[in-house]
Amino acid sequence: MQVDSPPAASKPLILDALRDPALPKAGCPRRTQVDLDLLLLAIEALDIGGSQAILMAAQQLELQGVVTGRVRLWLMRTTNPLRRNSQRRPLTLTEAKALTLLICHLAKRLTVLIRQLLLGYQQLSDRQLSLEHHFRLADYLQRFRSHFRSRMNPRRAGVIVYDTDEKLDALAVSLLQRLLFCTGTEGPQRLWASLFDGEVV
Amino acid sequence: MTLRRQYTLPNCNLILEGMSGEDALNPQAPMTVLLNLECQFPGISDPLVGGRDFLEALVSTVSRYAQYLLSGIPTKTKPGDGSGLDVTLAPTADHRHQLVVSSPEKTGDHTSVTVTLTTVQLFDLMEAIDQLLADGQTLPDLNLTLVSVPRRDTQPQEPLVQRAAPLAVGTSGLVAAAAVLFLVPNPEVDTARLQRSPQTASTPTDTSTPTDASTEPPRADGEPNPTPVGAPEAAASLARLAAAPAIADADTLAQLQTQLVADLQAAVGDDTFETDLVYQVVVSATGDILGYRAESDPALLNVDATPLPTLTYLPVDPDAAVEEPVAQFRVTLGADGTITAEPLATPSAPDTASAAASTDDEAAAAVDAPPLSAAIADEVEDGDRLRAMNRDLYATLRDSRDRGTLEEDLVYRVRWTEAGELVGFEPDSNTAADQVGTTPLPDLLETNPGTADTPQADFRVVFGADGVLEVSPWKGFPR
Repeated sequence: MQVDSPPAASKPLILDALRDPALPKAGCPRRTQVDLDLLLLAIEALDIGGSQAILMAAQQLELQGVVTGRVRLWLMRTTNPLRRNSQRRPLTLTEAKALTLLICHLAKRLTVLIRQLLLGYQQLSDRQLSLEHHFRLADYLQRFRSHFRSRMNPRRAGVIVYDTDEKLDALAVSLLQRLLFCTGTEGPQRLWASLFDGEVV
Repeated sequence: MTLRRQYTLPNCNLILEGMSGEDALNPQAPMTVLLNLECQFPGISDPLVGGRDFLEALVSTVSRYAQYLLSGIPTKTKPGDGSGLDVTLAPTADHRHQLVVSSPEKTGDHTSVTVTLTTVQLFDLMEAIDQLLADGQTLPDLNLTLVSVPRRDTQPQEPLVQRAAPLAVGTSGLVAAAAVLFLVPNPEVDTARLQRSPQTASTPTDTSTPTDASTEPPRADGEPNPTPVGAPEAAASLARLAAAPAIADADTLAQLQTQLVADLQAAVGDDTFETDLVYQVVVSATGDILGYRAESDPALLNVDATPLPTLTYLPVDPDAAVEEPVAQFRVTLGADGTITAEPLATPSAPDTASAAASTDDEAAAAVDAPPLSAAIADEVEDGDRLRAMNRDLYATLRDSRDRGTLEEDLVYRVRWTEAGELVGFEPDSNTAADQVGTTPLPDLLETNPGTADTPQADFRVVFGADGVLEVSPWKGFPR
């Protein structure tokens, strides 16, 4: 039989590991879009080649059907309303699942670094030393701050909240902590469930 | 045979001892019965020890807490039943997590063990639990479903007091505003001012009419108007009938009288009035009611109950003076339903009437267009005298005008003698012509101007919308 169009691309099977939440309306809630983008931002701050690694990971996980390329990834990330070039369209559940799997995959590769930074952070805060004493941690925090400030719209109330270095550092550390919990065996499921906390009916 | 499973992570060791319920001799059989659970944290001397219920409480608590750390959304803590084992996790101030295990004793007291974990230790505990759950060889009946927290189970991020504050502030603000505005008096409507403009619109005509007792009774110009509310159009229509000639023929008058009574009777029908209502009614030669005026207060109050307002012919141009012959009647609408009409003006000789009418017309026409077209014989051009006259006119107008607000500037050309008499004026715009009644100019107009050769000059008078009066020579001050 001759067909005129290529067969419809089937959804990657890996996405079926995450169940659709019972959302009151289609599309991801605002907090989901913000959280996914911020976690990716933290991964980029941890890993210098982070943005390239995200695309590589998409190929390894066979998610090219969803994350077709750099522009597609950028479009998905700019659904974050805090972004300077924020898109009005909401993130679809398929895209959110792909991003979740990507985040967990990358976090798992960065497990050692994440644990080091968190242990260092714990030690510094126990001794009440400033975070600059840990070179690697200070590097991460500095990169995260510059990423955040260059990409987020400073006029949004959600961004104005993080107006000082200290507040941004606290956000970076909390993202680090969340990335750690993404690295576990059940990391994708836990992250996926947490993205819709308080949003499902 | 006792089975032993150990899940070792850098910061947490989870050791389970149990046995297989099915085949005790098969080492490959899954562990289905848990005898003892030991949870060790390196660096913390006392391990947490418990049985199956401890494991289940630990799994659900750690899982829920990990989800809270991931999402930042706190959930409502379910109150423990007080009897069973209780495992709680709570964040501490120094970025650690406090794990409290309180177990009931046989005596009824609770012994609680508190362990403070770092984030990495907590993660290792969670990971050990996850590995245990994923292990099909250990407790395959133990499983955990990870679901998002429904909205109704989330804890509000702000306390109730904080959430109620905006509502309270808004309500109290509304109440305060209402209380303050309650003290402010209602604005008063200046009804007299509202009624004056249509009525005085034709005043120049009135003032110019020479009193002719034979044809016209005293008119509205001399009397205080008894109809401030209710019948402005009636008053206006009477004013515009001032110059109309009277019908003198007795037969016509009788015929009109009969017709008027019949018309009123038909319109009133069976209605009755509380008291006798007396009106002065002006009727044209064809029998149409052209205008009426109440003669008494009850008549004024009940004018809307009478058919007069509906029967009155509404002129196309209310400002135009009526020139057709009219007859005047005093109409009494009796309380008993009877309607009578009697002629008011005594008929005079037709010749005199028509002659008087013609002079009236001429006079009215003359004043309607004040004689500013005529050149001034002795025009004042000297600067000092002009200034003195300007000052004089300004003072006169300032004293006699009433300070109301106007919709726009009214500009008039005013001819003023050096002796201080207003000889004539003409409006500069249609609005000024319409609103001439609001200015003092008609009142000040000298009805019997002296000789035209007295020293005079034209002035430009502006009644400003903002209440400012401006007077300046029409040709400007001489240099």
